[in-house]
Amino acid sequence: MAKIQKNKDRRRTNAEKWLRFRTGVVLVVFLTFFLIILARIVNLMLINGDTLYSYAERQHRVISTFITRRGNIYDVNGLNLAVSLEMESVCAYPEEIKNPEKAADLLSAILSIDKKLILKRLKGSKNFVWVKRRVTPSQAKRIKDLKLDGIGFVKEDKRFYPHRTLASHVIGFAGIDSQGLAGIEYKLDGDLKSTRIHYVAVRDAKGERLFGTDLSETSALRNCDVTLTVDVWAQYIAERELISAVRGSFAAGGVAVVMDPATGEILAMASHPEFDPNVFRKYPKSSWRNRAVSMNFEPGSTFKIFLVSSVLEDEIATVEDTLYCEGGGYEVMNTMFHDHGGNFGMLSVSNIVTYSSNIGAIKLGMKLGKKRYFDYLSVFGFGKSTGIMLPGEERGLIPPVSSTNDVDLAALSFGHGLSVTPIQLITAAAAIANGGFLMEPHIVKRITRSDGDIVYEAKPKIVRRVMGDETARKVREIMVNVVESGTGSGAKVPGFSVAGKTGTAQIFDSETGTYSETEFIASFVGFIPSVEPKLVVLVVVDRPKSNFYGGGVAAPAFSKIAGDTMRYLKIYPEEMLIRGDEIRQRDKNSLPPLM
Amino acid sequence: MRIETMATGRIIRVEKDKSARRDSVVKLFGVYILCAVLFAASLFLFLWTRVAVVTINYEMVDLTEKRDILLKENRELKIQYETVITPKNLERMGDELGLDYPGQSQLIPVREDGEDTKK
Repeated sequence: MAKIQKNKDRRRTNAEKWLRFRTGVVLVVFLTFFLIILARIVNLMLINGDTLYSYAERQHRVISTFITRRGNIYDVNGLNLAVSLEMESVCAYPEEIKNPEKAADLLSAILSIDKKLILKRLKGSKNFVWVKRRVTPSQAKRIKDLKLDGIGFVKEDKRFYPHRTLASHVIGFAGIDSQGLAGIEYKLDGDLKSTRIHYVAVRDAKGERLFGTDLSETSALRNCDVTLTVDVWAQYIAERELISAVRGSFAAGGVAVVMDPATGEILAMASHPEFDPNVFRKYPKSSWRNRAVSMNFEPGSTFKIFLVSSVLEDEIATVEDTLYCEGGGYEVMNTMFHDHGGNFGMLSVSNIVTYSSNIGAIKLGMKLGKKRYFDYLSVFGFGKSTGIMLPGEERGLIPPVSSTNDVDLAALSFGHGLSVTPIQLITAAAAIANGGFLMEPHIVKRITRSDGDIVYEAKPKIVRRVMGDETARKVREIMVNVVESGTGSGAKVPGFSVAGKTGTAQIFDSETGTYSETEFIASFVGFIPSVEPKLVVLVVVDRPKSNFYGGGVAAPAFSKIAGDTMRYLKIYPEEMLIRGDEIRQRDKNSLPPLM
Repeated sequence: MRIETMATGRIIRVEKDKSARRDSVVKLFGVYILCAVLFAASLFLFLWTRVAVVTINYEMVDLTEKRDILLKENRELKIQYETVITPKNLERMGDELGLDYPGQSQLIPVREDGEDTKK
């Protein structure tokens, strides 16, 4: 029994030993494998880690390029004035094209390009050539359907101006590579231009999909949109009436500017001849010019309001003071000056402006003296840039005071012998409208980054005070007389009291050295309403062939622009409001009582 | 458990030790199994989340592409709309329909504040 038990114990012991041995073997095998794996991990992670990591990076990550769209330009109400549209350009890799003849034949038919020209490009020695840039979507689809070898597509932005000719001189245009070439497009190209960044993106095994690479926080991608103070409807009204005035008088061109005198904001800036920035190359270069800032012209009689402002501010004369206007002819240093509106005798200072007497203005200029007059010209901002954010602004020309004699002063008194730009003229006139403050004109309201941050916001900026409130009020009253009973009667706007001044300036002929008898610049600058004006409008018509007087060609254009813009802005004459109140009151009384 | 072996205290102790060891081995095995299950579960969870992240990434890429296409379409439609409603076009269409701007006598302005008071 004991032997049997002993044998059983021995067998059990052997079995246990065998089990331990097998367990040991398995342990050793596993341990060996574990060590091998550990060694491999050490090898992969520590010894060759960097190299392998770079291999993995190369395999899963790709350098990708992101190009932002060029910033938009908006009107004051957020309507698009300039946008970028994504279009496709057709390119070719000549080395990959098997049958250039056939490819050229097919492309020529779709793209309407000479086959020889395409063939020349396809057979060229370059690795990459453009076939046609920015093709229409239908053309791109037709070419894609052909599945031609060596023909590819590149997505590019094309600048598009939805309003075509509207405000084209302000907006300007961008070239084929989206670089600003004129107007705001040029002036603010640094803010608007598309930006390009290279970034590392993750791709899958197929090398196609890029996993969520968030670029929204990338500062390099924050290009800007520009919002102008220009209102599309006010601009349209100004352009429509300017075109009408220019075509109606067979003029060479013209300018119309609408400004808010309280802030210096430009609501409209029209220039003629017009051009369409979508196809700007089809228009002569001269039409690209924004005359509102680049046209130097002798303002003529519109300048008398600044002379009278200076005289009244310096208390050289009062509004009621009278001067003898010599019956229409006055000689200064052997130079004869004439009045064009009539042969005036005694005229009050007010009537000198109302009837636009040159001789009266000369006498006022003489009384003021050239030094003070030049001081005031400088104070009004003539001869200096206004600082408006537009390219190509001229400064105008004020002759040096030291070289000015009495004849020059006489001419300067009624707006000859100097040149100003339309923007200078309207800015100075706005100072009379707003009670004597020279405001800095501005056309850019806001520059906003694509992430919403405001980079720049225009605020009304007073440059300086040019006259007292009382002087400004007196000059406005004189200007009301000009419209009510003087040369500017064509500027009347039904229901509103309008203040303004006409100007008819002869153009200096440099060939003959004299002022032309046939070429004029007609202008009108005015405010509406005359008390607490909401708008200042300037109309300048260059070389009108028929009806060349400012009162005949520019004043009616002012009337339409001012009247229609006021209605668009929902600023109604007081009598209309009272009538509306009466009608509403009547309706209210006749309404049945509520149950 | 054999009775005869229970006669001596020594054998009983050995049996008890073996039994306790077996129990502890079983417990240990249970712990190993539990650890293995937990390890497998966490491995599965880890892999599942990784796969889910990748899948969601793919979905995000798809949705982003769709969003971009819709935004582009929206943008183009807006531009198209603005091109159609330019003041020039509206006025031309109005002319074609024989419409004209109302005269002053045809307009009844209503004060914004709704009160019959002067501005």
